[in-house]
Amino acid sequence: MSIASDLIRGHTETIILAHLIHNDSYGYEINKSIQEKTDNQYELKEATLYSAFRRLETGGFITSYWGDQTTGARRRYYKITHLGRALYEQNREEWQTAKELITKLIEIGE
Amino acid sequence: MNKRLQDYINNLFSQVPNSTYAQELKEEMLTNLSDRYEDLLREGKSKEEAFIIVTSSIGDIRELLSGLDESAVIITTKDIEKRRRKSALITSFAVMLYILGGTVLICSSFFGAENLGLILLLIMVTVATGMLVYDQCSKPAVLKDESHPERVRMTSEEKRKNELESIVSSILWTSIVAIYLLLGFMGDLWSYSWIIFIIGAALQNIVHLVFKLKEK
Repeated sequence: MSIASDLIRGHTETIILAHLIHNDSYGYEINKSIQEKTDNQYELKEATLYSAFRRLETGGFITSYWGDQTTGARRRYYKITHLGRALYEQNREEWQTAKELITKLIEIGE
Repeated sequence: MNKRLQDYINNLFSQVPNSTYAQELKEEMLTNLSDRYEDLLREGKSKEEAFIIVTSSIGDIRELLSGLDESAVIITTKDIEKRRRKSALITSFAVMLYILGGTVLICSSFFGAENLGLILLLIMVTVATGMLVYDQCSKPAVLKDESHPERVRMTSEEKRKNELESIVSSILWTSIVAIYLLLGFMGDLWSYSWIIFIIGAALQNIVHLVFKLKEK
C-alpha cells in the first residue's frame, strides 16, 4: 500500500485544489475529507499539507484569509484563484493520461 | 484553547525565530489540531488517545521550519500584486516626466526662457531616472525575471560566447561614437555624420547574426 501513499502525497497540491474548486476551505476540513473519501485509509501529515499550501500560495494558485472566529483563535481559509483552476485542470488531465499509459504498460493480455 | 496542544506546538517551534509567518503557522496549526482533537473526543476517544493521535499526525515539519529563519521572506500573491502595481505606477510616472520635460522645454521657448526650460527639463529627467533606478533596485528577486519565464541555464561555453559577443559590440559602439566625433570636429560634417549611428546599428545586427550562425 506504500506505493499508493507516495502517489497520493505526490498529488497533494491537486487534491487541495480540487477541494477548493467549489468552496473555500481550511486545513483540517481538507484533511478530514481525504480521510472520509479514502475510508480512513489515508490521511495527510499536517506538515505535508502546510508545505503544499505554502507552495500553492507562493505560486499564486491559492490565496488565504483569516476567518473571524467568535471563539478562540482565528482560522485560516484558502481560496482558489483562476491560475489555480487552470493548474487543477492541467494536473487532472496529466493524471488521466498517466493512469491510462501505466495501465497499458502494466496489463498483460488475457 | 487547548493548553496542552498549545504548549506542544510552542515547543516544536521553539527553535524558530519569531517571524510573522511562524506566528501565523502556529496559529493555523493550533486551530486545525484543536478541531481534530475535539472531533476525536466526540468519537469517543479518551483525552490521552486523542492527544497522541493528533500530535503524531503532525509529521516532519523540518522542511517548513527550515524556511522560517529571519532571512526567509514568504512572498504571497498579494504582495507580488501590490509590488507590481507600485512598480507600474513608478515607471509610468517616470515616463510621463520624460515626455513632459520635452514639452516644458518647448513651452519655455515661447517665452524666450529656453535656458530655464532646459534646466527644468534636466531636473525632470533626473527625477524620472532616479525613480526608475529606485524601482529596479528595490524589486524583490521574484519579480525581476518576469520577461524571461524560463531561466536559461547557460553553460560556460555559451557564457564565453556571450561575453565575446558583448565585447565585440562594445568595441563596435565606442568606435562608432569616436568616428562620429572625429567626422564632426575634423570634417565639420555634423549634418551628415549622424548617419554613422544607423550604420552602427546595422553592423551590430550583423555581428549578432555572425555569432548566431557560429552557434549552429
